Amino acid sequence: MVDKAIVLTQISALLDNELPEKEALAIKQHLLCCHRCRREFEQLKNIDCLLNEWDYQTTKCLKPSTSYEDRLCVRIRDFKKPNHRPPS
Amino acid sequence: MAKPRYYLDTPDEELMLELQQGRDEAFNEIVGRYKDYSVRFCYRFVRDFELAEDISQEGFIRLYKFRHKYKIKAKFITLLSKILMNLCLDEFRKRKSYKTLEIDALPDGGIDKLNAHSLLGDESSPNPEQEYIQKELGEKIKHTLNSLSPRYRTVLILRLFHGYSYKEIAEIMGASLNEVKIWIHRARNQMKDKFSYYLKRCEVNGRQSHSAYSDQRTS
Repeated sequence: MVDKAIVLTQISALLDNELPEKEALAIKQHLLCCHRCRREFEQLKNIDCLLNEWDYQTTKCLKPSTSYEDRLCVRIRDFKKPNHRPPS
Repeated sequence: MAKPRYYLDTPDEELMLELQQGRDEAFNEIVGRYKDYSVRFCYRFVRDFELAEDISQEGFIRLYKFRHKYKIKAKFITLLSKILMNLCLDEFRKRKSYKTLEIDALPDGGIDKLNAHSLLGDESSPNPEQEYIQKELGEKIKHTLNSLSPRYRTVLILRLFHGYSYKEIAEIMGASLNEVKIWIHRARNQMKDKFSYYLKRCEVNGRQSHSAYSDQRTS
């Protein structure tokens, strides 16, 4: 029987598939019969989904600007100049 | 006409060794491979496109500047991520004030309006009111993430948005596996506490969890 206090600290790791197999199985079995811990698990999962959805929507079209590499070249060139001083 | 890529099949770590030998084309290949990743990485921290580009370029400059010190100790992407992460965190330190919105303040109309699941990414419903709430929710998420400590914010970004394993996160952050595990747990709980209305709504709707991503590592 898994201690509830332990379960609550391991729920994040379970969500991330970072628990050893035996431990994960024990936690999952506990979740089947403990409403409170299962609710906690679902809430964390929903938060993950919210954040991932938001991140997906805000970054799906994100690309460097067309001038990115040219500007970087200029900065590298400036950096290579003798007596180069980085901007303050 | 596209420039020939001499180092197309060369592993990242070997490119750095080539760069050490003075071959700048190797550096150009690194930039070509990782500019998308680095801009996206920085954007996820600072949520400002121009600033993200600026920081990502600074990351490449650092790589170039300290190329002579490079040794193959870990994967190149771990090194690059570490450099970018530290630059982003430096940027946060410069900003002293974080505005934390009242997350539990509902839009007019109460809890019925806050149906984030159907609003986020629901491009088939361009209702102006929903778009407004969508934008509001996005701003709240952004500000809540910003209100976390840099450590908690970093682990969440690396885990949730980039899909790094705990071991990889520990390498990038220079932390132990146990520390990463504890930080992620606490960060998630802090986010959970600040989105209690959203979570109540999920329970009311019997929301099925889903994800719009399949593999964050490709992003």
